[in-house]
Amino acid sequence: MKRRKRVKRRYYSARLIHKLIRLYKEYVGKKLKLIETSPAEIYLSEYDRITHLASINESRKILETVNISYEILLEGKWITIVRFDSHHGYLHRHTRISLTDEAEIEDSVGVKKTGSPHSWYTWAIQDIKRKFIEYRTAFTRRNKIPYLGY
Amino acid sequence: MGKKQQAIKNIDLTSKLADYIAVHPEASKKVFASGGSVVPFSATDKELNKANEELVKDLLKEGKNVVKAEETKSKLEPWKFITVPS
Repeated sequence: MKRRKRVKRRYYSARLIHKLIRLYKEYVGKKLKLIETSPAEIYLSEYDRITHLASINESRKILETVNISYEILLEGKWITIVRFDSHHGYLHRHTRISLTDEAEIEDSVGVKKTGSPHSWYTWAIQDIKRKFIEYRTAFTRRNKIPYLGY
Repeated sequence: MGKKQQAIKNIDLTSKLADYIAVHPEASKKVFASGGSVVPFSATDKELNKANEELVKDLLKEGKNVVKAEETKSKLEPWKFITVPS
């Protein structure tokens, strides 16, 4: 006759459970302490800049890519032609169509959907690096502005 | 140097800076907390740095707080952040 293997049951003490609950509450509390940074502008030329705004925690870790935008100077005004944000919990892109109308088209085609806010932040900058001439060309062509606005 | 060429070179530096900021919280403190205008400077490209110095002068004339993000050749401290007095 085969002997059945005895299943070992694990019991957690009430003290351990309370400790885990306390640690979880502390973690959630820390996570909610977000600081929204003031916008920093990185100048690429007299006519191009990237503006970034992020939510960071107390240890200065980026927790949310709030806004990374590519802006161009046209007719003495800075105009955001493309911007990335993750307000809805995932990264997406807003594209401005017209110089006269501030309406934007929102999409997430070809935008990184997985990963952490850290990787979204660097991905958005990389995307602007790869395509900023493309974004600029499309915008200036749509609005019939010669020479890419430079 | 043309403005387009300057923008292409600066965006290359900016992506390196972003990679660094994302990993080093102390750098993000300096850049984000400044709330000012950041201009990247290359460790090797003197022509670009000359054009960027002109850009810094223009920004100061506009009354902005300017932070120079200087790329270095050091592996321990690849970026230095210098607040330019107005």
